[in-house]
Amino acid sequence: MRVDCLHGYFIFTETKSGQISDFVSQTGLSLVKKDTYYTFEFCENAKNYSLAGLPYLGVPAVETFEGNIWDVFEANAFVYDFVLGIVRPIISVVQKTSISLAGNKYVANGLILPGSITDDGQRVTGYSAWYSRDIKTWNYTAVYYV
Amino acid sequence: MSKILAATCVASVVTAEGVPVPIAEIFSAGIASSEGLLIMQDGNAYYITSNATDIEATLDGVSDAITSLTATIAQLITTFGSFAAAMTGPTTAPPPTLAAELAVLTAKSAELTATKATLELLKAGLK
Repeated sequence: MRVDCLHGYFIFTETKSGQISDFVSQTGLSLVKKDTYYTFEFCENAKNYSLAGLPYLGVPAVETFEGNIWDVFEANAFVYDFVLGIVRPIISVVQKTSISLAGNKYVANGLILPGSITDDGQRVTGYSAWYSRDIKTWNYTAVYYV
Repeated sequence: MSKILAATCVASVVTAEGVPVPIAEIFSAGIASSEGLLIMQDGNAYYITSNATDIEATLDGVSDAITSLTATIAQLITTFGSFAAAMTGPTTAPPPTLAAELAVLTAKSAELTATKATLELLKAGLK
């Protein structure tokens, strides 16, 4: 299964049937189908626009913006915190994460919480990763920072 | 891709979904209160008023003016008919109804002037 975290918004893509249900059963995190992909249930009704001052998934938007959902996340500097199950400003995330290079990919301890701060002080805004079902490991092909 | 929302504009402040949208660029005069559309694209927002009420008020004004003009012409016909009916002898004196007839025509003229003023006001307050 592939996951793309775009500015804190998650897109899960099944490459083999059963991967989504496996992920849900293993993590306890609910995913829902949206358009052609899956995303976290909390973000199911995320709009493709925000109005400054009006709540966006429970948080007052800071920007008036229209675009893809992940662009709206970026414009407002929001991320989805799948641990707490809320959308929050990226600067409010204080989680630490260790990302290391392993051959032609990066590895981390589990799914990286967007907004996390790496050992060298960089804040993660997004990534692309594959989930290895056999060894229950996330392999990151790209990691993006602020 | 863009998003279109119902919006209002009052005193040049555009509001959509209950919140003011200060970045909205108003594509109309923005003088009078109006209802319209907020068009959002990326970080830009544009407000376009609905001209329907402006047009409706203008047509109402023009319709009133035509009604008043018709009434004035009808009154002129009546007045001249009255004059003709009164001119039955060698007298050069004006018919006794002249003052009253002229008063009616003056009133009709005042109505037309008032209608014109209303249209000017409407023009000044375009949305």
